[in-house]
Amino acid sequence: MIMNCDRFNEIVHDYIDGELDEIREAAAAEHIAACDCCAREVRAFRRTREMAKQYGAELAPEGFEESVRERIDAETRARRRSRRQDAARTFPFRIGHIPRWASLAATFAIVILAGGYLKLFYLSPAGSIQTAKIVTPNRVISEAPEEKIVLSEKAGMDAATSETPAPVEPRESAAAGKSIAAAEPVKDKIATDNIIVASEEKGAGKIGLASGGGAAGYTASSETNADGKSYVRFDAESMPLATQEARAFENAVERYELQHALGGTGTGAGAADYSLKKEGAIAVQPEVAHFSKSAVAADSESRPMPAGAMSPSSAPVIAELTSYDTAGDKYSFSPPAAMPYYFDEADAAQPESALEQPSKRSAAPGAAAKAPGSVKVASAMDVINTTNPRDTLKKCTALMNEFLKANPTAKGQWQQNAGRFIVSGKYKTMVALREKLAAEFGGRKQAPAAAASEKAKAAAKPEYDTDKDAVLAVYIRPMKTPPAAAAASPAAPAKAPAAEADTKSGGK
Amino acid sequence: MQRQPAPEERLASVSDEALVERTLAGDAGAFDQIVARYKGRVFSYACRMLGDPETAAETAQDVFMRAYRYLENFRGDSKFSTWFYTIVTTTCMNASKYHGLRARNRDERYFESEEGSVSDPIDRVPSDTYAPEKLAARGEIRGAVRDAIQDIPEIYRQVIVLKDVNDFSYEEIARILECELGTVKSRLARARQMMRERLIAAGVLGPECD
Repeated sequence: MIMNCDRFNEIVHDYIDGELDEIREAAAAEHIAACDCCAREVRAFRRTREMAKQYGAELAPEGFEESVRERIDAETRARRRSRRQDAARTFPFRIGHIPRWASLAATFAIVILAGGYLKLFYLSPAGSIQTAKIVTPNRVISEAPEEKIVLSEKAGMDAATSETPAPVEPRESAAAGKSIAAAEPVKDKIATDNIIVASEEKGAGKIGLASGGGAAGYTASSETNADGKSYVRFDAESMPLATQEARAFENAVERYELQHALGGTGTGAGAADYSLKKEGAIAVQPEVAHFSKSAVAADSESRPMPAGAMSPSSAPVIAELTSYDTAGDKYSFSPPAAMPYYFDEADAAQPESALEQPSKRSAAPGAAAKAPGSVKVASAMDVINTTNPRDTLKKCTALMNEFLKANPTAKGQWQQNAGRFIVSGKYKTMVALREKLAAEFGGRKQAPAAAASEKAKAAAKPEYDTDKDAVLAVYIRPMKTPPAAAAASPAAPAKAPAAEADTKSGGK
Repeated sequence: MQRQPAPEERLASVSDEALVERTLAGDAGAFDQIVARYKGRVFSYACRMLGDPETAAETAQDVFMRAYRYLENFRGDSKFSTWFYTIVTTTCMNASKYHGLRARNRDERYFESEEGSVSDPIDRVPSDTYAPEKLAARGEIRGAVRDAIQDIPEIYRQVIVLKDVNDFSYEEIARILECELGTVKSRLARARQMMRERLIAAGVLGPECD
């Protein structure tokens, strides 16, 4: 075989790297023996390669292996802990007792609400989903003052609710035909997903109900966290994972994620495909795609939600998208070893540790991630116990929407997985809202002794500015047995319109 | 009396794939051995891709954490190192995005460069200041080579680091980066050419061919 300079230039690197077959290698060797210029090329590239090899390598820093081992051990401990908690699972709400984690969980919801730009979904009185774009302040970490009002009679709560793990189904129209009875255990048939997908895009998610999610009764919202990254949250409700619809939704989510990972524009699968073609190779970003399922998912060989464990997204992350094969349209999920959002009694002292951003969580496990300049806000939690969750939810939704309409600065969100509304706004408007809720659902204040103790506690704290932000979590809890005083349940009309309530000084 | 080998010594001759099996069976030491085997290469790759050693160390740890979590996904269809390096490359690429460590990327350096900076394309002509012994005396070759690698656009840099620093074959690189063999070859040729130009400009390499 005779080789000229042009031909040699084509294979010079194969020659240097020993990737040629014998015949071509012999021809190349023959050529450079006769051609000084090509021989110099070979020497120059060999030298370049040697330099890269010699100077490009590094020694791992001291203690590297130990750090990795520590992180692995920490994850293993977290897994064990979450399993233990699950084994000891009990219904977290008890008569007259609102556990500390619950109020913390309510306050954690602020993290979801906080951080800039949100698109929220809530149910209109007619049952359709409406959206509201809002701007929230920077990341907030709630602390105090905290008040508790229990909005209904609670007799029989323990026995009744301990068998009622599922929150009520709020969106009849969205998940048509797939909704479940509120009191029906979700364990066997329901996999409720909360899926957060990171995107490059700022602001509202474009997938919405259009590209696969809608047909299956899913909703999406996007939010920007304190680190400035946008996340898109998908709430997939009442859907056995094995169904075609869920599958379609998963595909839609992935396409959406891929599309944004590639910085593609437009919406839907087409755009994603286009981007894939355009870019050739694609790397899914596993650390920013968190697929989580609340409670006990169908495939819960992983970790079901432990008692008392809540996350900012109100469901534990139990599966992550790990790979995506563009050619075969295959993807796989794996349970992450860490449960970064979990917190339990032991963690309660440092709730910030659970607030890590998804993208950072593996970087510093267990490290407090309190944002500098974080704002403290007041928070409160109310519980509405009901034997007719659907009606209660409708009523409550109507009331919330009316309130949000009257208070444009307030924001609200129904969180299906947690079975609660989260509302944030000015402290005084939150107080007004609670009064309205109490009037509508027959709430009563705490027992005088408890109220006095709360008051004393509050008095010890500095006066809270009623114009500051506050957040309220309103849980709707289905009960099988009517409360003892249900018959006497007052149907008092909502007394103060929100506008009027706004003018009240509801603070302490 | 014969000394009992330490656990790490016992594992030293075990294949990567066997170590994976042992890890999945609950042998913690087996994964430590994987870390010990790959830590240098992974850290080198992360350093060259990210530039900043601190971020590289953090990212390299992330790589091992991720590999540990997803170890059961490794089905043995390919070599462990190939599977593992898909995690390495993806994690580093993400880290590069998130940490915004592209400050040393060529275009930005053009903007930042002061007069006479070596980053200016005009200076990338064969240097008449080729004096490697002087540079070596000043301990600058290492820095110049690293700068040269860092200066190459990411897609080319990936290939040259995988090939020349991490010593993978063309085919393995194609599998790791999920691209065609031809793409790997052309990127490597381009990467080496770019690196050569930069080394010549930095006075580390002499102009060899007219």
